[in-house]
Amino acid sequence: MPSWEPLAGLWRSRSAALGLGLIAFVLGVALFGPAVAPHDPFRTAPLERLAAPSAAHPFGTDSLGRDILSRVIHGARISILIGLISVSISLFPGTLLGLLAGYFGGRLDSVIMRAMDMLLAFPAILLAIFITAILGPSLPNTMIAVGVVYIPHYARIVRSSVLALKEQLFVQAIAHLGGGHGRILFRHVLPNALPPIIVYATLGMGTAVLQAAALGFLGLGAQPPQPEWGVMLSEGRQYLQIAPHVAAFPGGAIFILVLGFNLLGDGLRDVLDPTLRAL
Amino acid sequence: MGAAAVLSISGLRTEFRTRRGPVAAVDGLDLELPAGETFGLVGESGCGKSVTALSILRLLPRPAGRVAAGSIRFEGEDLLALPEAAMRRIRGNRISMIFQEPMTSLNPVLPVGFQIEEVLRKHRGLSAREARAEAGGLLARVGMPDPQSRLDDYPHQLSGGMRQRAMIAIALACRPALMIADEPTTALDVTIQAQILELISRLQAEFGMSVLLITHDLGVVAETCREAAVMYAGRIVERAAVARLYARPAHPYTVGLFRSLPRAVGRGGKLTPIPGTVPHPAELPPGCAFQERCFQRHAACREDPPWAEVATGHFARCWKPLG
Amino acid sequence: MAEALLQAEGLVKHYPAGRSGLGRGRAVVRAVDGVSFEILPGETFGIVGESGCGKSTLGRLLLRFEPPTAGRVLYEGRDVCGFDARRLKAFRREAQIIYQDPYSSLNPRRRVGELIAEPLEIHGIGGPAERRERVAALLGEVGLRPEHARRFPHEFSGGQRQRIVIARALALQPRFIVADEPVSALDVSIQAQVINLLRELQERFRLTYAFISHDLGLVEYLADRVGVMYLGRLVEVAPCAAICADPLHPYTEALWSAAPMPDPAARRRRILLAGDVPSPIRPPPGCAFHPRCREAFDRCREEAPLLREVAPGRRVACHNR
Repeated sequence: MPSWEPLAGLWRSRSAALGLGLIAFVLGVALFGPAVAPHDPFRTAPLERLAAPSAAHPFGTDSLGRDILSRVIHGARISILIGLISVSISLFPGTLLGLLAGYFGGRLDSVIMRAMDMLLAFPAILLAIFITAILGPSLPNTMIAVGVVYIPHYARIVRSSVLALKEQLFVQAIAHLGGGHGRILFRHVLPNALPPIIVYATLGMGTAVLQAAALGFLGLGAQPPQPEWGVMLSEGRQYLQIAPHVAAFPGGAIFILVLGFNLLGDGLRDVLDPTLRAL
Repeated sequence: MGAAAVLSISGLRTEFRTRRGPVAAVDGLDLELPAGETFGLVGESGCGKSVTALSILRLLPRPAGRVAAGSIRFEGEDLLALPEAAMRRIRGNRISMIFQEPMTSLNPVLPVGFQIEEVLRKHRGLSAREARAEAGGLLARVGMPDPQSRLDDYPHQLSGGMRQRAMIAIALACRPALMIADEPTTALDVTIQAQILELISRLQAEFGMSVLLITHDLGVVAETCREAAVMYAGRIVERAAVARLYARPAHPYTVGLFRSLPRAVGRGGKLTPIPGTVPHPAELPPGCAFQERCFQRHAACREDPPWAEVATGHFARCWKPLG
Repeated sequence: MAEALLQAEGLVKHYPAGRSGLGRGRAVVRAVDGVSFEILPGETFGIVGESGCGKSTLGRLLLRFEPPTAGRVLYEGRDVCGFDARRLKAFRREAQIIYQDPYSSLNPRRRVGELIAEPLEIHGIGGPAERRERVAALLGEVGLRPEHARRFPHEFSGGQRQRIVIARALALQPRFIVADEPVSALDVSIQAQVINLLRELQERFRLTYAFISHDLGLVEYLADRVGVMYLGRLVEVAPCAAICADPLHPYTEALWSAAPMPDPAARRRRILLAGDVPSPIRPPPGCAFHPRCREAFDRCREEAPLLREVAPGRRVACHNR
């Protein structure tokens, strides 16, 4: 299996460690938070609408009197899932398409990459809106939309690594020994093409969370009363003047998670970049 | 030795910052370069021979590398103590350098002639017209075929041998007192290497300059140098006139190099490689750096070996020199 | 003469030239341009030449890594391009290559043990336990230790990596090995270790080598017979001792005299060739060497000399010999 030894270097980078910490924190909240959340995130309390943060409601309440802390805690799970699932939706097909296009080249390459170019020609958010408009607004459809939009990015990154790798002597050596395409692709090319897409996927998690939140904000993603951070942000927008905390806390949560993914992604890039690994 | 030295290095220590902390690529190097002849500095990769050259010219990659101690005296001044502006006047003017890969030291987007003229105008204050004429003359002197029309060629239009000639022309533009040639023929084919070595020898005599020829190739040294020094792990381990060095090497490392050389042992002879590999500069043993690979190591090798004079003008850093 | 193990007959390999030939019809690089010779079982056949002379391409053609444009390679008398799948697989087992660069010929993300076992896996030899044993034995053969199997290539020096490459090439018990500049990337003292290893292995396993190199000292030391290449053609083929003592072709002579001798007492007259090697896209007409040859006369400019036998075992392509 590939060597992950350089990952130890992550700890030496302060920002990467901070990113890892932020993600671990949100992940912990997502896993264990709902059990310790002070209130039911769906229970409305008409008498406590838009209450400011207090001991009973540390993050205050929203326009229906729901406890914002509990909703943000439940939302963590949704956002982490959005990140994981939508990145998987772009990562796996994108990587496979890039591998095939780069390795076999020729007509297959032209067909795949032109299709990718077509996808890329649309602005990401517009394409996502288009897809959710067709599939109907819901959380799973948001993930599909955000995932599909980024397939071409992974395909391109993988393809360019593969183009370089297939000329490498160690790849040709396997062909010279009589090794088949499957062995060459999955044992020798893919593991060496992984580092850049690991970095990109990590950064992509942050982007996916943002995109999903944006769709939620526009009413095309998760639907109320789901405690999705983007939806909550959108609901809080109307009360920005009188009760800024309604929007501030979900917004802060998005910020923390996205920042975490970005810091970790940058840290990974530094560690996995072979040009910086001399000595 | 004896004769005036054009350059004298003493106690040079050059360090590089690495993940394992500062590591000395050159440590305690003393070297007197004789004036007006070609001196060979031989060693395998990583022995510090190129770092020595870069230290002389103060061209170490910054901020990773720095000279930590020592002095380098040239024409009455300590190069290490000079302000940068004064050093810039010496570089390319009094001391010039040619590298292994001329492609990377020539600017790819400027014609060769322009690059030579630039040096002439900057360092020798020639007018544009004078510089152009002189550049053509220089190319002719370095044996460039069809020199006038080559002035307008870009580096990629020249062959490897011609590029090295162009580099030499630039190096000679200011009639330097010392030319440092770092593996000048390693990237070239044998027949082209022979041309370039011949050229360097001829120009050395014509200009009466001193040449420091840095190479890993004992054959190149034998054919071009009068005197040479062998480097190992950041220090000079042996120095002698070439005829003497090749006939009676005194340091076990030098002996090992010769025994590893197919051409030196001859067909049917037995190659006796030096066992093991060069230790990492951060993991040198105390005392003699070569002790772990040496065929005659003994207890004393754990102490710093003396710079012993084996015969007149023949020195080796060894407790038990041969020869 | 013994039966040849491998025979090249009029081998030609042309590649389409890149951008340099654009707009001038179909320019081709004549990498190998009509080469015939034979390699006898158990010998080391040295292929010498300067960069761009086509020696590496020739090595790849011998191993059928790519098809020749014209001509044939016969292995035990049979055309390697006519092999069916089964014969080809056997040929892939029996003929191996050692590359010049031990840094790029090993996948950096796989353990040494996996790398050496890979040829066995590809050819379906042995089970996992047997393969592990075989890897340990192979590591021993090349002077490494069994526990090295668990390390990654970057933990080794250049010389040790080349030993790993050699172990992998030996895994399938080959008969014929093309060694393409196997020690050029290594330091002198390490070179000698690898050369000694190659010689030992040849003796132990009765290997036949095609030893490709630009280093005359090495070829002189190792080879039984030598072929000298210039611009895609063989200019001289002869037993090594003969060619060193008395090179016949003017190019061979210049090449030998240009190689620096590590012996100041032997400072001899160097024959300096004028100019550079011409481009293999537009080789000179007639004898490709004539523009640099001091013996060239009219015929050389018009007619390419054929490689012909001038003494037993000695062939040279020159109108003057």
